[in-house]
Amino acid sequence: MRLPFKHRAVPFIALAVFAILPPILKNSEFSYVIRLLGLVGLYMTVALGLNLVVGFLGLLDLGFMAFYAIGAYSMALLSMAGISFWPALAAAIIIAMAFRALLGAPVLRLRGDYLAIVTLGFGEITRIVLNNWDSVTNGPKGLSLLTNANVKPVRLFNWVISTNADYYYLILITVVVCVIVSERLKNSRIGRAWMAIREDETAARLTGIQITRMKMIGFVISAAFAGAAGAIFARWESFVTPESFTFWESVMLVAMVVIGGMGSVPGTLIGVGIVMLVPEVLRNVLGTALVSWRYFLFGVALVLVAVYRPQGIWPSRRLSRTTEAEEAAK
Amino acid sequence: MILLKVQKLGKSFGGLKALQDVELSINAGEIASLIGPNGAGKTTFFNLLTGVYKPDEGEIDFSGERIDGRPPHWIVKRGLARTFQNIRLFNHMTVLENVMIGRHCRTRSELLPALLHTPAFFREEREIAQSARERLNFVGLLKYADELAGNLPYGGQRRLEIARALATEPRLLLLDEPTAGMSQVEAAELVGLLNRISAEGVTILLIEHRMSLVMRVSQKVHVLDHGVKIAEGTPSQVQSDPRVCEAYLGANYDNSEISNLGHS
Amino acid sequence: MNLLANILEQLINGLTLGSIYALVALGYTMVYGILLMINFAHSEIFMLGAFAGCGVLSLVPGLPWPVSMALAFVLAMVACGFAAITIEKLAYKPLRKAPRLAPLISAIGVSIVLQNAMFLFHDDFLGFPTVLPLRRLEFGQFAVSSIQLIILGSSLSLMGALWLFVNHSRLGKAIRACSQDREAAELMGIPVNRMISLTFFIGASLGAAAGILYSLYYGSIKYNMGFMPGMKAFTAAVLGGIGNIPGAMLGGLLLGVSESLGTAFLPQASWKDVFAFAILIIVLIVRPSGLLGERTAEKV
Repeated sequence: MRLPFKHRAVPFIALAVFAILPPILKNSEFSYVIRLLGLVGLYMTVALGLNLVVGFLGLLDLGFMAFYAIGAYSMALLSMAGISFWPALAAAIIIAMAFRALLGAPVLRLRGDYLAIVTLGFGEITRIVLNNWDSVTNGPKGLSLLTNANVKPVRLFNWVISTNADYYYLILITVVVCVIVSERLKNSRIGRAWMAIREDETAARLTGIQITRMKMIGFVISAAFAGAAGAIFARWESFVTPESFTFWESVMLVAMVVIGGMGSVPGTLIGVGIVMLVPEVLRNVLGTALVSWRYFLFGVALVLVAVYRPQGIWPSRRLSRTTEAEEAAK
Repeated sequence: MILLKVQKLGKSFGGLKALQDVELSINAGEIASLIGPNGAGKTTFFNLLTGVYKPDEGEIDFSGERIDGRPPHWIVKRGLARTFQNIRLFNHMTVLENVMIGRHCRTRSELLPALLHTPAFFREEREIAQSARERLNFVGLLKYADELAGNLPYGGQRRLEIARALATEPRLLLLDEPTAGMSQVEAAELVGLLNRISAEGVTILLIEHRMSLVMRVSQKVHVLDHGVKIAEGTPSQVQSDPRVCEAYLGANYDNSEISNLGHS
Repeated sequence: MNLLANILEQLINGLTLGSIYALVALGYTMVYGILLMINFAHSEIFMLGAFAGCGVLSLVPGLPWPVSMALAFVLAMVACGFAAITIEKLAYKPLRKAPRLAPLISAIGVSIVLQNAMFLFHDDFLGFPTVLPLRRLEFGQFAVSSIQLIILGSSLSLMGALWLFVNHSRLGKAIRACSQDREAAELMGIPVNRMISLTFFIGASLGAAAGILYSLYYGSIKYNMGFMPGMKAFTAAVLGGIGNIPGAMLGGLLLGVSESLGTAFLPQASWKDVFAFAILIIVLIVRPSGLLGERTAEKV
């Protein structure tokens, strides 16, 4: 079903707007916005990955930040060994995918809520290992890429990527790639299988879908997204520490996907934007004195959105059409 | 030619013997029925055939190959598909998408073709949509293609389940009470559909309570009661079998009552 | 001190901590059993119980400790029970028919609200009043503290009381019916909404009691103290089979003991959390429905 032209034009318009922001804001008081949007973009990448698992497949994953962390640390360690950015990025992605496959193999057949706790456990194990394996990860002190002479600069042909604006564009491209991948997967045999699994796993199995294989594909690709985002983050910050990858981060990611609209790509992007930018907006509105009220109000907002708009702010086509039976039950 | 051969099939749940020593065969091209009072083990039998459960005893041979204990998706790929006693559609997907899922096991594109939008990918997607539409047309639901499956009227949902199963290109189709809840008219239409499916070369095994339909459409009837097979034969043979009568009605009624069963 | 005595001491440590985890795990498991939702905010109830207990105890310094403790328990448990009922009505009830993740997000929101409300009230550690007599009881080569015994005794009593209630009272039976099949229970005339409220009340009061016991053990409380114990307790509930009440008790005790024994024999104490999660993952791989979980076959 092709959407009308005005709907199809929206993503391109949005992309154009985002693309011209850095030169516009460069010398104004809002130049910090570029860095903020860059961070938002990184989280969008991760959230798009999580959307494959939570939104399309319907599996609850409470430890997803672990793969962001694995991507980041892989990039940091490889860079410190002198490997240049692009091969290191590929390697970081593959490493994240490998860990996900390793974890997924024995646990994908678990019931939904057990899977949730196992992913939570793995996320915590990852954080603790990163925090305690001093010889490799330097523990809580983290790894700094600034002081290491082996680290090569990031360049794409003649473009040296070093400023916030540079990374902003790199991240923008990454987000676009991930959006395209998500949409293409959604409208494919794999995507349909995922939705069938989400609707009724048993019926899907008995209609000939190999459930574990389909879940594993979603699982592993989602980790690729997260690993890529983590790797870019590592080079941007030039510093990685376990404190950026806590359980709360994983939980907030799930909140982003659900608030935006599970299984909806634009919804996920909007969800990330809202969760990350509302506290910023509140900070500007309420001033720095009421910093602690920010999170309190955010929590209230979360409850309100969940109660009054559970299908999310931009629901997927699937969830926006309720069946007549569900309408009658309201 | 024997398509399905079941020998000494047994399954227990905890201490409860759901099926014991069940044997039957189905010939290719046949329309056969499996009948019996509620709780006789008919759906359990289907669940064993389709790989939901592993039998405790016995063998299931499909087209000369052992299928007992095999995973469900493998069995579907071998050509055994089913519908469910309680309708299990993908309610929030469209009618067309539901049938397209049936094509999953007969198609191949996975990651790379989908991501790279290769010509092969588009070709396969077209084939999937086309054959799905054809199956919808076959069961008479083509005009509902873009409706949500959950919005179809009850009879339509049952037919959609059949279309979905047919999309997997089965050699043997297992239908679990396909006319449950249907009116007389809808049930009669279903008989027509069953005959058309059979004409395409698909073998059918039916669980049904509507005796008039069973007698009309089946070449062979198998009767289960309390997990044990108590009779088998042509419809008229089974109808006059005193054990069958006793199973359904108790010992005090005569056989003519059986054909009155299931009229609603 | 010989190895056996060491192990026994760690065992007592583990059982003490584990019994606290078990009490919290019961809250998670009972709510899951009846509503199929993970009550994320339960760890904050644990924290609120601790603060409530702290408040009560600091208001009545003169009383003999069994009296002040009883007062603290009763008031904290009742207050948290009602808090949980309110939370359920406002943040979960409207979502009973919503997609499964919606109540989870709502619960996350509630958790954030409660934690930050407490943060606004007091953002740092707060010392918990020491009212219990501290005595060291020696049994040959190993020793236990009176505090451990009191904690263990209290939690086991509470668990025993819950067990009797769930299995031998009419209300308990009604709750069990609602957990099995809510619609059928309603059709049988059971006031399901009230049973749900009751479940939340009981779960929360056990969590609040656990919060007090935990604070007695560790001596101080903080707005974010609920997080780790909550997560471990949830893990314990899943380990025992989520929705299964004796499972939650068993899971909690097992987790506490393995954590304790693990800490004693591992190179670094901070690895003990890994140990707990690793055990969980292994158990779930080997026995997917949890230790006591029901392997109910799905009706096809």
